[in-house]
Amino acid sequence: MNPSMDSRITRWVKDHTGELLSWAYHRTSDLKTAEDLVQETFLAAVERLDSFRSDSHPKTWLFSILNNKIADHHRRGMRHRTVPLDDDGPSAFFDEQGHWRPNAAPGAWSDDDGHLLDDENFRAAFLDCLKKLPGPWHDCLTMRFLKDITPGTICQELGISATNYWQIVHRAKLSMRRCLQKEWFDTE
Amino acid sequence: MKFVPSILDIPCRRATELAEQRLHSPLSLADAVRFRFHNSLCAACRRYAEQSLVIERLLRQHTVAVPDPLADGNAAEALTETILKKLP
Repeated sequence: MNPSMDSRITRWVKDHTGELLSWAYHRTSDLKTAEDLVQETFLAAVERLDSFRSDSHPKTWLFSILNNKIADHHRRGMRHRTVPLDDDGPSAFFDEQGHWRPNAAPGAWSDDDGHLLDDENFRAAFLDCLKKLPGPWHDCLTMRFLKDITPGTICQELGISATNYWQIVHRAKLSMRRCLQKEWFDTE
Repeated sequence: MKFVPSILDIPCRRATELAEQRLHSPLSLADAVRFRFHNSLCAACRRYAEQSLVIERLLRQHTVAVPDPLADGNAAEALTETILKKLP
């Protein structure tokens, strides 16, 4: 690498690591993963420096590399953390006519004092349940609330169709509901 | 729900899907009517819709207010150093 390239990359690392890290963190909810992805981004940038056109903005270019890394990361999660839909799909909750199976129908959630959402222990139970979800379900549920992200974008990142996206949200919510019922409300 | 006109008759599975969709975009008039009608007769789906909303609030809180380990900038600074060392 010639010295001018070297200093250019060094400047980019100094200027953009913060923003790239913040973006990667919000997209993956995991700091270690985010750090790895940003590192990989810069290493890839060094390798591909020839393909960087000097009239484009380095930040845009770096973000496009990072977004590909994030998409790869989510796809890997898709393969490794997917629950087979056949085994544990909505048919676990609904019978052939689409009615609740007797043991799956939502029970009451008591919130006597109306402060459920402020209860630290309940929030912890919620986070435990969220962590148990397969990767794509987790991402579908959480990424919807990030700024500038629409369901369409998430689908693109995860490589799933829009119909599939809603099915996943529905399925993930059913799981979350069942988990909270079991871990919190039924044990009170 | 034997006596329900077939145009209004949706199964619980569909009613819960609609409960999710309406959190994000308004339902078509027909679906909105089906949803309300179904839930007026079905306690389980009524609970589902309420509980789904609770989960939705929790998710929003969690995502928007993720305790941000990046807030003080230390993580970014440390990573910048690490990367600079690793560059060829």
